[in-house]
Amino acid sequence: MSEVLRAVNLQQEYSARQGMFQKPLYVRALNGVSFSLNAGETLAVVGESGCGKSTLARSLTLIETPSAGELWLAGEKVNTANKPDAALRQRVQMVFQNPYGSLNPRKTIQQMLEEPLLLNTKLSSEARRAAVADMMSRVGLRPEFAERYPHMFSGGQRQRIAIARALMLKPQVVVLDEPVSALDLSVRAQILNLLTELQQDLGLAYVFISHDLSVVQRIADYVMVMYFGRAVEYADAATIFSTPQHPYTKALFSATPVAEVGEKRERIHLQGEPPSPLRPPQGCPFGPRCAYVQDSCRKEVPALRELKGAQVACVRAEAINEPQLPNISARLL
Amino acid sequence: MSLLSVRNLSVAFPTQHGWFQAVEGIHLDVNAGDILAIVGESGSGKSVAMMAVMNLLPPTARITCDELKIEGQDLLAMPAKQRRKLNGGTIAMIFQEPMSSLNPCFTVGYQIDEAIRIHLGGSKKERTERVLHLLEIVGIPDPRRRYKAYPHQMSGGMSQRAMIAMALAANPKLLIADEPTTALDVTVQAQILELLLKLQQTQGMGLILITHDMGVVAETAQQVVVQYAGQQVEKQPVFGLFNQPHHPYTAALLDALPERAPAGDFLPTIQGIVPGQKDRPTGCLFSPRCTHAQALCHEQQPALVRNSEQWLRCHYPLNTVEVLR
Repeated sequence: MSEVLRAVNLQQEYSARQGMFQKPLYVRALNGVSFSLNAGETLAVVGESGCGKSTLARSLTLIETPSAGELWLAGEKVNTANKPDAALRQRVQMVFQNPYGSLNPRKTIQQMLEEPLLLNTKLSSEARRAAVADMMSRVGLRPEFAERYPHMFSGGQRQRIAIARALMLKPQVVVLDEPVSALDLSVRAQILNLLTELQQDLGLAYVFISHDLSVVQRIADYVMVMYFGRAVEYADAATIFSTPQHPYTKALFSATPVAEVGEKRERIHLQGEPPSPLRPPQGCPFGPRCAYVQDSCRKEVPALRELKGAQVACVRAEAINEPQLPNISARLL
Repeated sequence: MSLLSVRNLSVAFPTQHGWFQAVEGIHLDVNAGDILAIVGESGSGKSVAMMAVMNLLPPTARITCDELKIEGQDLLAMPAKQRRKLNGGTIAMIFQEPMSSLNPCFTVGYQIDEAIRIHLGGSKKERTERVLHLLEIVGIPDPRRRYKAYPHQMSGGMSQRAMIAMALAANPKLLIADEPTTALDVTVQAQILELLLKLQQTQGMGLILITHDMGVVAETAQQVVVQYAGQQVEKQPVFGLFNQPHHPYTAALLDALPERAPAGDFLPTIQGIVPGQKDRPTGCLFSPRCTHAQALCHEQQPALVRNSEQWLRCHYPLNTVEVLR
C-alpha cells in the first residue's frame, strides 16, 4: 500500500505571555511526533486532554503550520516555512467533534457541501449539484434534504453531513477529532460503520483522535498513545492491546471501564494530574505520576525505542514488564 | 421503609405544539447504601426525572406523581419552602460540568462553607474546620491553600472533588450524581468514581448515578434503570441486565457497544432515531426501531410490569422462560 502521510519529528510551539515586559514563555504542545500512514489504514491517537492530540490534528491538517519537523503528503514535502499551497491542503480534511458547533446554522446542506467545490474547482453548477447529491446518498442522507438547514437534523445526521463535507474534495487523509464522542450510543455504532464503509470504498487513510479505547480497539490499525506532547507508545493495535508496555498506557487501559459485570480488573491508580506545560518536570514527563519511577527516570526525557514489536518511551520498560507482574489489560481483548 | 420512593412520576413541558412528555411513568426505590444507575441516551428524561425529585424544574413544568416520599415524608404534600430545606441537606446533587456549576466569583472554601452555614450552622471556626475536613476526605491535597482558591485555579478533576465536598457538606442521606465524570478524562474518572463509592460506603448514603456510559454502570451500580424516550423500559440488578436483558432496547444498546459486539468490520446498530414530540408512535415507543416488534407492539403501549426485583415495559420480553405478564 502506498504511503500517504508521514510526519517526522513534528513540533508545535505556542508562546505564553508572562507580562508586558517579560520574555514570553514557549510551550511545546507537540514535541517531536513521528509516524507514517498508508492508504486505507487507520492510526488512532489516544491520550488525555492537554496531551497534544488536537494540536497534532491542527498541524496535520495545516490549520497551523508546524513550527518544526517535516510533513510529507503523498510523497510531497509540505513546506513549513512558507504557506503550503492549496492543492496540498485539499488532500487532508478534518471532521470535528461536535456536529452542533461545526456546521454553519445559516447555510443549507447544499451550500455547505458545495462550498469546497466552489472555491477549489471550476465545476459547473450542475456538476456541483450532482456531486453533492452523490455524496449525500453515499453517507446515508436522502439527497432531497439538500435544501434543509442543520437544525432540522439529528446529531447523527449532522455528523454524516460533516463527514460528507470533508470528503467533497476527495481527500486521501481524513483527520477525525473525536468524531463519535458527542453522539449517543445507538447512533455511535451507525457512524463508526459509515466510516469503515467509506474507508473500504474510497481507500481513505484515517487519523482517528479519541479517548474512547473500546472504539479505538475496534477500528484502529495502529495506535499512538500520547502524553504531554510526546508519543509514549506506538504500535499496531493488536500488539498494544495485548501487551501494553509503557506504564502510562497500562494505567490508561486499566482505568477504562468495561461493560461486563463481575470483571474485577486490577486497576492501576494514577496519582495527581498531568503536569503544567509551563513547568515541565525533570526527565520523563510521566515520572511524577508513575508507580515505577526511579532516579534514572529523572535524568533525561526517554526517547521512543523498539521493544517487542512496539515503540516505547520508557527507560524501565523491560524491568516493569517482567512476567511475574499480572497483565492487567489482557481482559480488554 | 425505603429512603426514596417514587411511583409513576411524569413530567411534561408546554411547547408551542402542545405538551411535551419528557418523563413518563418512573418508578424508583432507593434504600440507604444502594447504588442505582439510571441509563439512557440524551433526551431520555434521566436528568429531568431527578430534577423533579429535587423540585428544581421551572414552574411551567407539569409534574404528576402518585407517590414521592423521602424517608417516609410525603414531598407532594410538603410546602415548597420546606422542600427547599431538604435540598442540600437530605438530598444532595452533583452536576455534570464541575467548571460551570461552581461560582467563579467566590473561593471554593466559601462555597462549601455556605452549604454548611445554611444546613448545619455553627461558628465560623467550626465551619472552617469542617470545610478543611471535607476537602481532605475528597482527596484535595493541601486543603488550607485550596480553601482560598477560586474555581478557575483548579483543574476539572479538582473542581469535581470540590463539588462532591459541597454535596457532602450537610451529611446527605441520598446523593444524586448527574453524569459526574462525563466531562473528565478516564484516569481522573476512575479516581472520582472510586471516591464516590468509598464515600457512599463509609457514609451509608443512597447513591443515584445518572450516566450514559455502560462501562461505568457495569463497574459501579447494583440496580440499573434503563430509560428510553422518557419512559422507564427496564429495571434489573446489574448482573442480570448485562447478561440477560429482557427489553429489546437494552439488548440492542449492549450489542452496539464496540467492546461487546461480535468481531467483524461492522457493528450491530439500532436503526432510526429516538422519536420526537411529533412522531411518537401509538404503540410501544421503541416499536419502530425494534427488530422483535409484532402487530401488538405497533398498536398498544405495554405497561410497566413488576416481577419481584425487575420492572419491564415490553409485550414480548427477551431471555425469559416464564412470560412476565
